[in-house]
Amino acid sequence: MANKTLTITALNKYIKYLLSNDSHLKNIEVTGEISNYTPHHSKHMYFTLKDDDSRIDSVMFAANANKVDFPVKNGDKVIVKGYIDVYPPTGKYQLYATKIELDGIGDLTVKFEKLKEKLKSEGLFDRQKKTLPKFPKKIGVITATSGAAIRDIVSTIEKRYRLADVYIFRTVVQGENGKDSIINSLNIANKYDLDVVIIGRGGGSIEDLWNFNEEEVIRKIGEFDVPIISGVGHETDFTLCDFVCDIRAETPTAAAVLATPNTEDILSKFDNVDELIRSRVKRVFDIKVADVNRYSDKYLNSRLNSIIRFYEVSFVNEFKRLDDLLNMKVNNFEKQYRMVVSKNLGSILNTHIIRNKHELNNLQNSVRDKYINIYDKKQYNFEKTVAILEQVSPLKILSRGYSVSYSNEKIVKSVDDIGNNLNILVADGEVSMEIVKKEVKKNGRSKI
Amino acid sequence: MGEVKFEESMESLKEVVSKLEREDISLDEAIELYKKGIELSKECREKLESAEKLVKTVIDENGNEGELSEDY
Repeated sequence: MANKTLTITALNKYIKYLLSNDSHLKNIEVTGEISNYTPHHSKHMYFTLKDDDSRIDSVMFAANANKVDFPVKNGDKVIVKGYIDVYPPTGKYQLYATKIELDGIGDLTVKFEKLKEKLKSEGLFDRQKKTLPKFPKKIGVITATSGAAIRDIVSTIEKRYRLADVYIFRTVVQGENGKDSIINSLNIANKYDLDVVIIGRGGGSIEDLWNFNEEEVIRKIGEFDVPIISGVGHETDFTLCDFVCDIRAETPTAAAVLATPNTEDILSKFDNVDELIRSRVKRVFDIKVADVNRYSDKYLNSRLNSIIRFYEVSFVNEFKRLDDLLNMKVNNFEKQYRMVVSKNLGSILNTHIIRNKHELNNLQNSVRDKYINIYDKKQYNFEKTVAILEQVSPLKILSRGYSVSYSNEKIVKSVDDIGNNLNILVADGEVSMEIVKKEVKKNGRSKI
Repeated sequence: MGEVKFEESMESLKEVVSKLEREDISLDEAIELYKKGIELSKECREKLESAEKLVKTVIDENGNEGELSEDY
């Protein structure tokens, strides 16, 4: 019997039978802290209930979960009523919750809500929120000087913006001394001329964070002069400090981010700023150029045209006047010129003519004298030659009784020279004869 | 203090940019602002890049100043 082989299904069914029928496990009340809880779309609640040393997976079905009258969140200390059962497909035993109540701190939640309403009605949460500085020079941090919160805050500021100085006000942020310590730190911080303050601590239960719900603390923060950032607990933790501060950050790290600009971002923006400045200056240039164009194109042109028209009219008149004046001057000048020329040229010409006449006369005289001289010489030579010629002239011989016979314009030297006519030249004239007979003599004499 | 001057430089830079936005700005003014703006931008950049270490001071409950311990 002891070695009988079982299927897993049979085994899990058997375990389920044992556990679900155990009278101690049928109706139990368990105290513990909720963890691993995330809201489920089915509205069933799945979470882990734990204490310092142990844990148990738990489930609450939608029908019961809908009746839970507070916002369940991780870290809540709760009292769960229910029973133990096994889910056969996984063989997993779980606490099946039918009712969840906050453990012992139900009164804190009530206190929180009451105080919240009271301070809200006083307008403490509605006062004007202060603006955070963009480039803080002095950043105050009100928190414990050890633990996750201060580490997160300092390392975040160190990464983002090292130009600021950080002042950490050592503060007790948990337990019964917390309230006075926070108020003390706020008082000291107020003397430091800070630009922004972070107040906060890491996550914890509502009791852990309770100092940030104390009325005196909240009122003190409400009077604070410097912009203040609340960075208390985790995303799901809400304290009255969150409401009274100028801004709530979900975590201490987020508070440090809100308090500082990011150096990387600023540096990358400078490129844009340079570009922006350049483009702005260029735009001013463009505007000026457009102005110039506008003036030259339209305004200047029309202005110029009207000026031109005005001067045109004036100029026409002026030109006409000038023209007349010029004409008059020219006429005057012409007259004067003519007068001068006619007077002066006459005398100049006369001088010229007289001089030239004189020269011509001289020349004429000289030519005449020379001519006369030459003529006289020729005349003398001619007369002399004539005298010589006269002495040897045949006419002289004729006067002595000789004659000369011509026939056909030739002197007759032989009978054969005589043609039909014969002219005989004597000293005082000439005789023409007709030939009757020609005869040549033997002794050379011819007979006519 | 460098920090003070950084914030002032940033403010001046913003002022330069917003002045350059104006329509009635003269050309001379624009050129002056341009020079100033580029100079300021350079100045701010250098300040940001030159900051090497975050200065941290701890003030205790009695208001006495000290340094943050290494293993905080």
